[in-house]
Amino acid sequence: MTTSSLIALGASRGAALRHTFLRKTSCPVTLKSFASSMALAIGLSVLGGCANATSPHKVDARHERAITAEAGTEAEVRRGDTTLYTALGGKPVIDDVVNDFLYRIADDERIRHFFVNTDIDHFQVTFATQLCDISNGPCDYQGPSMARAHQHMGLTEVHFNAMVEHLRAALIEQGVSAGPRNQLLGRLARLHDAVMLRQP
Amino acid sequence: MGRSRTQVRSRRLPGNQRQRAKHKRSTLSCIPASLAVLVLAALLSAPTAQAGSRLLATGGVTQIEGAAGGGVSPWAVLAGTASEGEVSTTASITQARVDDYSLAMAGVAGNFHNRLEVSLARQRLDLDTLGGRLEQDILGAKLRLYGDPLYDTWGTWSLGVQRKRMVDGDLAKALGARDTQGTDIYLATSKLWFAAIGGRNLLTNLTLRSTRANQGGLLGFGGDEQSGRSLVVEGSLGLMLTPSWIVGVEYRQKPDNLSVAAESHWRDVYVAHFFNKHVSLTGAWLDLGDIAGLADQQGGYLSLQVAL
Repeated sequence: MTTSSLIALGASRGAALRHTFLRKTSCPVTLKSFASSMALAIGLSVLGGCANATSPHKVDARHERAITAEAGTEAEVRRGDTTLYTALGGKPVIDDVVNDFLYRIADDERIRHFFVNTDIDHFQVTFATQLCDISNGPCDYQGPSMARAHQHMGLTEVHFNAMVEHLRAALIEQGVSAGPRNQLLGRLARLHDAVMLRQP
Repeated sequence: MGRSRTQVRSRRLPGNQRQRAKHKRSTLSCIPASLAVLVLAALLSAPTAQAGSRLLATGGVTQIEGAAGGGVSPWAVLAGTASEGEVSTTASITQARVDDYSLAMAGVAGNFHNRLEVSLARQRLDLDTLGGRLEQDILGAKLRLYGDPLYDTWGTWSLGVQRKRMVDGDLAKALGARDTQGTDIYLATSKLWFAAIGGRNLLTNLTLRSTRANQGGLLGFGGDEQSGRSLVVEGSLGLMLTPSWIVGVEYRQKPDNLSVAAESHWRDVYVAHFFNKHVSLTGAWLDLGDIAGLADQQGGYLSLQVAL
């Protein structure tokens, strides 16, 4: 799966989603250059992948390594095993889930504002890549760490819970059965500490 | 619900007013009952956005002493679905009927920011075979010390107290109980294991309780065989068949303080359904063993919880 094909697929849906976010938020969303979109995408979801140019604090870096070390080891163990990715339904289902998930975020006033300056197309692709990667699919998520991607956003447990709830609802709505659904949610739940590491 | 509410109210009224309230009970009882049905209907169709942000069912149901938990054991989770910066309140009614006894419980609980739970409950045990009635009030508090059952490797840990006071302790005293009031202290931990059995999430709970209570306090505190505190273990498993259906088992170890009334450990199997974040219904099959000299007490349990 190439990034360009993901973008191509995301584009049509992304247009509709962009429209939804534009409609739901009073602030206009403008598509900026790729580089600035990366920076703006800081205002992103609890579970999503996004970029941030700020270098990490030294104090946090050690803590972050400690948190991600465990996940890294597990990833190595799982390498070559694409069972979960296949069980989820592969790329078509993951893309549908991400799409559904974004519509739910757009409808939720508790978290919608985090996405006001977000390039939704970019987020859609990055998040789908991350889900693919974390479920041992043929993808390599190369975005920033969860701690960096979400730092100083002012996230609370309320926001994290809301995102988990929306993702679970999206997984159910898109027909992902209990086993792979819970496995995926379990893997994502482990990102909680990293996501919440640098909140003010 | 209406009856027990009226009783709680009438108890607080002085002498003659209390009598009057009792006489009015039969006519008044239908008003709160129909009101309750209306509230329930509204809650069943209420939008979830008005509830707390924690996931459905992560506040458990209301255990028999008023704390968030399963049927007989408190869990480490706090009532309702409130999270950081949110408040939830729950109200519940429970009815259990075993061979020779009927137990009714009505309780309310508040959850402040998913840090502190405060609960108030009244239990009423009718001695259907022996005759008579035993009642106690339980004021509970539970402090979440650490963690989250979903997001933390070590789950969540809470410390709780239950201050229990019998309404009329004569029977308990006659059986050999030392006191008619007492305080339970417990440490509980809860953890959700994703895709643990058949792809379903499994909730595990372990509670360590220090108590002097006989039959949870309905037969007083301390006794002729043992007057001091006992450290008892309670545990439960809950398999989430879907996000809104849980089936499970519970076990609660009990002290055995009274020589004339041997006490057994409690066991149950339960099924709980969460209609939404506001309404849940729990059914269980109880095996309570010996109670006040009558052996092998088994029977059904039904509990309704509403949450805001």
